[in-house]
Amino acid sequence: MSRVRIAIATEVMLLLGLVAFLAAAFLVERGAGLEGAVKLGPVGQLAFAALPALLWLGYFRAQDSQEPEPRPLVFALFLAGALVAGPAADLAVQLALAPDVAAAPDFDRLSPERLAAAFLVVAVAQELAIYLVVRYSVYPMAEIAQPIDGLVYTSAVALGFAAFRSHQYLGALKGEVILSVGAARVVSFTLAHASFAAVLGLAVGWAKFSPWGPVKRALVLLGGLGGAILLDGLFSLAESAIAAPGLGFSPWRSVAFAFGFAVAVLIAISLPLRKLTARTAG
Amino acid sequence: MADKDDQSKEEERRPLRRRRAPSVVPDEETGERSRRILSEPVAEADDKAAPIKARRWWFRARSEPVAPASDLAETEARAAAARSAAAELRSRLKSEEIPELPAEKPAEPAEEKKPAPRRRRRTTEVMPPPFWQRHDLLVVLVALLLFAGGAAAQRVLAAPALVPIDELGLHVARPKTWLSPVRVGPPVSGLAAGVESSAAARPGKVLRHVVYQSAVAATARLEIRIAERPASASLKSALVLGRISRYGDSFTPAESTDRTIGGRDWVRTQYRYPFKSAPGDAPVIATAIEYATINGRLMYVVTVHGDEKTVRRLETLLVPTLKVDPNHPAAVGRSK
Repeated sequence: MSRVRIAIATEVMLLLGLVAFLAAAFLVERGAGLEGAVKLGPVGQLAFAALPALLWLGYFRAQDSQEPEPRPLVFALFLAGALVAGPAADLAVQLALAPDVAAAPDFDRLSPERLAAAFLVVAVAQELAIYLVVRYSVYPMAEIAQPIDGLVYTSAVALGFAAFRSHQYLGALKGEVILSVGAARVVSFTLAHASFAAVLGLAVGWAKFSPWGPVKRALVLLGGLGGAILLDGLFSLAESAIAAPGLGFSPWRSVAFAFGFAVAVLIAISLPLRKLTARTAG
Repeated sequence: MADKDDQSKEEERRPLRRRRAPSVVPDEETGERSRRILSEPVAEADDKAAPIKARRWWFRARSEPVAPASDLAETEARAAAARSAAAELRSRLKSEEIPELPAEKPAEPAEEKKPAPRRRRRTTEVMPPPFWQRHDLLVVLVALLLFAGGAAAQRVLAAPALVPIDELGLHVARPKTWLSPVRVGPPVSGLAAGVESSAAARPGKVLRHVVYQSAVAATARLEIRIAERPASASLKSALVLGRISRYGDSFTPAESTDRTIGGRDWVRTQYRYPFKSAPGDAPVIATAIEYATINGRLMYVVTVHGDEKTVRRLETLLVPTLKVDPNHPAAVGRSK
């Protein structure tokens, strides 16, 4: 089984695993007759936020038997995503988007200020933080031996980032979470960041094995980063419009959109990934 | 053998070379003359295959840096000339003749002293790419510029709109989206404990007292109080008495400082006090920054309220708009 197939299979398994996680949360809620919110302690919040990402990492490790990536390195990158990229991006966004008490409340989903905030502030901060961790940690190492490795390591960082965001969400609720709704949000974060990381990781692998000079290589990386930023901004705008169409909030719509989005991105990147891998092997 | 192979390769490669379109610009301007001078030594060695040979040399320089054949022949000729000159010198010394300085006969080997053939800089001497290229800092730079531009654009787009207020010679601006002003009655408690709440304040004391409230934050408010100038106390004393009458002893004042805004001196005081947005709410600690000045017969007090960050923001936004009309009829004591 080629490594591209393994990577695609693990992405598919990530989708299915997240469905299973969601179904388990729903069944536990219904089975135990939990009507309201459940109190999660600090450890419970951590486990709840990181479980989907850790499942994916474990599955990939089990499948990638041909040329397995070093487990400590993959886990270290996951932690770097959660403990470095996540807080750094969060700090940058908070500094840039300080709420103004004198500003008018903005109810328009597609107002220019919302577009600027979604695409040019939040998305850039998040994807740049992930890129910086990948580029200045694992990228110069010999562990990236094939273009597909770029995708694997970038996904590890992005899943750590998603775990940070999930934990932040649970922390904002002070641990009082409705299981099914919380699981839906966590799954949305994980799927979204895995999708963006696929585009960025493809560019990282491509740039690492490109025969071009430094400027063209930088342009490839810039293209990947730009694609990830674009997807990030699009996702956050579309998800907020779909999940909260009026004053209410329906997390299932958000999850369904995230699944569709992730599948579309996965299909879109699988073809260039195969070509790139074949070209490098040839 | 190798040359034959190279020649056959040259013939194979030649169709792949793109033929340049004839230039309409003079030679000096296109740089063809300088290129021709550079390729002269190579052209002497092999006229026909000059560009191909140069390319072949480039490949060879990368793999094994061997000096060209013309260089070797020249070196041998120089060594032979040096040997013959030394022998001649020895024979002259033996015959006890004064040797002539070699510098005096430079014209003799004029043909030998040909200008040294120009050598191209070897490609193996190429410098490594600079730091910013090796570490792809271009990507980081572009992303940071994008982020900074986005943050600036968002601030400009989300900047609050202000509306001017004109009250008895006091000009100040307020956020456009805040709620309509609410009139504030006289304090019902404080130092005058036991006085009935229905007791009217002394007539003519407070002329205007309104509060503008934010639509999104309960503690964020702009308060404007215009009263008659205190007759028997200084401005600072009157302000302290006013605060005590409203909050009792539960406020914590900070030091008052003087500031000049729009050419007029204002007294700035920051204090904290317990605040309840609704009667049933738990009290929170709110912060206020008060600006006060005297204009003729009037005393203006403008206060921004909110939490610590909100108050700072409101002060930055609204206080620079403070302006006083010294000739307002109410200030100079004339009725309108």
